[in-house]
Amino acid sequence: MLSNLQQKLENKEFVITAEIFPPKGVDVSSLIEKANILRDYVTAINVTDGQRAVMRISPLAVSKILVDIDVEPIFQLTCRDRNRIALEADILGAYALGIRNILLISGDYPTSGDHKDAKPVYDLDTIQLIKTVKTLETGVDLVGKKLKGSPKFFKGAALNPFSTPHSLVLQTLQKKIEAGAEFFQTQPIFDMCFFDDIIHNTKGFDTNIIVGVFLLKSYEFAQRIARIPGICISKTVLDRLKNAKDELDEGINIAAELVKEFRRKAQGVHIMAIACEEHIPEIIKRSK
Amino acid sequence: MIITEKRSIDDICKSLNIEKEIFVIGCAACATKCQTGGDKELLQIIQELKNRGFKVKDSIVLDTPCDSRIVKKDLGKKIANDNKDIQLLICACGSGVQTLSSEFFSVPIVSGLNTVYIGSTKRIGETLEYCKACGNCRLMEFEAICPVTRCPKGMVNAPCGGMIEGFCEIYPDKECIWSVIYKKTGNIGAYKEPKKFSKK
Repeated sequence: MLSNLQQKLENKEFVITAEIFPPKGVDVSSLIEKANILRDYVTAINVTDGQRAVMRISPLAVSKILVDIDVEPIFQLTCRDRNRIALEADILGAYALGIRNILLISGDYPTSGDHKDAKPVYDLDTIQLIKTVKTLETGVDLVGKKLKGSPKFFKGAALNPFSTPHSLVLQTLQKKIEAGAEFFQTQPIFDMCFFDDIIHNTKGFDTNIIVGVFLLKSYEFAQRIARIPGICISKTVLDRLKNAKDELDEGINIAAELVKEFRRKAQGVHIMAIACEEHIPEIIKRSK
Repeated sequence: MIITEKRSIDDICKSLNIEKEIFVIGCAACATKCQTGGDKELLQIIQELKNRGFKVKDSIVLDTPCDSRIVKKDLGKKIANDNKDIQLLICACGSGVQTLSSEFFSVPIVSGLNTVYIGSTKRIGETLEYCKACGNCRLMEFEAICPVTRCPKGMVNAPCGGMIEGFCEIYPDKECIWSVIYKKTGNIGAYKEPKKFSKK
């Protein structure tokens, strides 16, 4: 049976996804609260895998928790921490636990996180990992041995519209599609001018692009985010926040305007609202 | 060559026994080229040790401490392999240190250097890691530019999303190796198989 995410995209319906960071610990109560707030507004929720290389509870466990409360997860799996044996095992395990969407990414390098001395594994690279899922789907493992039951996933990958040179990024996109990626989620775009510039180039590719939208909850927050390499926030957007009476409200407006535009131009949006996921329903309401 | 860097004199002295005489050993090959284990460096380290009250018995710069034959020929008569009354301070790479520790099994040994990588030297103090000695060389799949070594994530199919203006997200002053390969070939090429870690 196809996941809701896959069904909607195949029916050319616009999808909305959101992101939840698993906690650093075993207390998942606030995560479940957030999922419950979002359940009626989003198609599926990404469960990150130690994003920014910060240790957090396993995304496999959290994805299962979401399955159990009837919220559809997108299980994120990185190349950073596990060798091919463990990756194959986790992919099979995810399917057995009822997970049907998987996002394959390389993963932030350990030195950017809190366990800086951890061994960076990267046994497989992203494209090999996508192909590994595909291989397991055919009923054999990476060494050709027959599986007792095979998985079937809706496979996704990441696209960073700010990575350059673009021509190399587009070749990478094509290679990920050939390896089996069926949908892409992008890093946040803060301004339509960047979208028209970059995502437009992906029109010729037979795939689904779910564009990232980020809630800038204040001017100060936006300034901090703007300093991250690869993030582009225009002066127009920064000025709007700076001059707003209610910065959060303006941030919600900015996000909603982007979602409204993307409804016409992309297959979906992926809304990121770090530590303020409760505002996502408002963004969606204002984007209609 | 094998790139080494000096360990701090404080760390070296913490490992040494103040009671035992030290035989300082250097390397005429890679460690001399790196200016970490040649004649000049040995003189400096001996002076530092003496300043701190250590007794230095002798010193020698071996042609290649990583070669047992050289070690036996040049040191066999000078040091008995069960001599516990001296200690060896070896300014050579990990391979050199361990060759000496196999030949002089019971002699206390201290390493004077940190072995960093197999690299290429642009100029003194400026080296680049070029080879991981993975034992399964795939250089010719990439027009003689090794992404296994020179990409921190060892990506052999394409760059990761962290490539910004052709530079590496992890080491921002380094060009993304995929950007370099792409400049040479114009093409990221066909699917590449996973790396092989078993050396058989």
